[in-house]
Amino acid sequence: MYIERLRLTDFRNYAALDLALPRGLVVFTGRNAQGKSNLLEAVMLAATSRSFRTTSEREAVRWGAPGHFARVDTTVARRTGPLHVEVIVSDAGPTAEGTPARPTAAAADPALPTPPPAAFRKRVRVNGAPRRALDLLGLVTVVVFAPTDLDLVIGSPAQRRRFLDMTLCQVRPAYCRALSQYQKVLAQRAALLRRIKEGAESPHALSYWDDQLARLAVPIMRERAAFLRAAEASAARVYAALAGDDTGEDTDDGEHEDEDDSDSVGHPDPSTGLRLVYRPAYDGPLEGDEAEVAAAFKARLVELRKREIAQGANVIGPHRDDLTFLSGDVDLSAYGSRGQQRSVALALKLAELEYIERETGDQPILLLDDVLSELDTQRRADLLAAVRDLDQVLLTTTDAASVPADALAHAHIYRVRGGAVRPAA
Amino acid sequence: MQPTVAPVAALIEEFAKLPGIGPKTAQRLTFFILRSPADQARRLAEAITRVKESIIQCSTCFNITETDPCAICSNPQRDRGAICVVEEPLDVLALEKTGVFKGLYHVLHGALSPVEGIGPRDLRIDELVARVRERAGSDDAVREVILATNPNYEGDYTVAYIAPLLAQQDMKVTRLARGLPIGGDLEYADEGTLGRALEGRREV
Repeated sequence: MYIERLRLTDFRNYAALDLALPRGLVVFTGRNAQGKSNLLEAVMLAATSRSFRTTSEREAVRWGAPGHFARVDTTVARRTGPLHVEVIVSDAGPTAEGTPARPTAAAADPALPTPPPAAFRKRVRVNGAPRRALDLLGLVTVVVFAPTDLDLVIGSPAQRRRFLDMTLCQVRPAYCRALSQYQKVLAQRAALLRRIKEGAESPHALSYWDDQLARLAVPIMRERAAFLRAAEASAARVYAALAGDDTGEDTDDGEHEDEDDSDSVGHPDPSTGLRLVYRPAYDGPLEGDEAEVAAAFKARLVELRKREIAQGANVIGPHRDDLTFLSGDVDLSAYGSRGQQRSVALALKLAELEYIERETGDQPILLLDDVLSELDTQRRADLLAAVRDLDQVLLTTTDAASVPADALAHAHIYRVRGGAVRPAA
Repeated sequence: MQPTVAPVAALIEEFAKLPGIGPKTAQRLTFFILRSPADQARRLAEAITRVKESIIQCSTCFNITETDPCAICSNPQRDRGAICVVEEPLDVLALEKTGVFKGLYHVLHGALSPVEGIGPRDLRIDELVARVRERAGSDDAVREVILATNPNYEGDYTVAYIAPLLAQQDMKVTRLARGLPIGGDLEYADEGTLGRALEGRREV
């Protein structure tokens, strides 16, 4: 699938943008803070109703936007037919008519009390019909690759869980629903554990929440395990290819820690392959009858009762899961070189692409946000060669020269400057 | 620009505190009242005051009422053998509109929610249990308690908490069915609802 047209209204630094986009490799080039990443963010918002930025989505509304709302409007060509997705983020509550509040005399009148902060709202329309944000997932699929993703191997477990969730949510709506319910149950159960610790409630009250936790946790864990099993072969293949190409030139120029590392530790031999190992916080078996696995999970909760109450926290479940990357028997997060760790991150992203395509029957749109500058020449070439046949790759860079020459030759280049986007001459 | 007069600003502020009312609607309501005749505004003010002054909770069912016991509890036509347990007084209104239920009510005034710090002692649960036990064995004995809480985690949890406390001989504890809305369309039902509807299917 690919984005045919992207229209933005008061989205971040874009007051108004109407951009027709071609298939293939699309390169957005320009200096920092001109709005390159905002374009990718808009695409991601249209695909998932979420932003990959950690900053508040409320900030998606252009500062000083008269209507207090931002609109992302996309037309997507898909194998199953075209789709029109509209996401509206408003930072002021809608009026009774359902239209975003317009500035009023009152808003500019200092004698009036500041109105209470209106609810931040996000509205989604698909082909003109209002839909829940949750129902958007899977209609347009994206794989995002940003510099922070290069830290997937050495980053926090939360980052790795987010990777699993982003992939699975786009492919399995049931997973996403289970995950969102799971969050609610977790919050209630944690609060109850604290209340029990304080003596405000009896531990008997936990049995209902144990049931709910087990009912939701088990399918989430099983989906995660199944995804990693399915993605392992393609990740290993890409990893081997990247390692075979490894020029020894590493990306962290100017950082000496890597060299020190290699002297003292000796990195694993890349030919020993790559394994993705799921490390659920719940250590019981996940295979077999779902009801039986859930029963075993609940039994474990009972065993952990004292500890959970003492900690006032949910000790097991998908929210504490992790995954590790092994080459042979060696944990790459501890013993891999920086280059190897980045290769794993790259391999995972490419495996994610393949997995989504296999599961949905359509190619996701790849969003490469300023990631080339973080990769060495060889890995840049490998990455762009691997994604050459994708329907669409949207790439941002400050320096068009960082795009390998053969990829650049067939790329569509746009210059981004101060919230305006123009095809490069 | 002319600064807004303080009483107008104060009224806008009060309206904006109401649920479902944003700043823009608050202004519209304020200017509506400003333009309406004085006695209409007075009636509104009095209605608001009276609601706070004359409304009390029924000491039996804890529904809101002007008299204690309330009109439903004191109505001899109502079936004393059935008690419908709801979260809020508004739920009583909704159920009364159906005209299907002829029994009595019990208003919990909320649902259990650890996150919001609402525990069993914050709701009228003990009163419900006492009410059912007191009448056990008498002519007024309760035959059925219908737990009509909301179909969400908090409502479900409240049911899971209350049901065992009510377990006693010769009395049914039931809860509302959940499933498809009347006039709805199967293909538009979300999976959760459709799944529940399947589970709760009945023979025709």
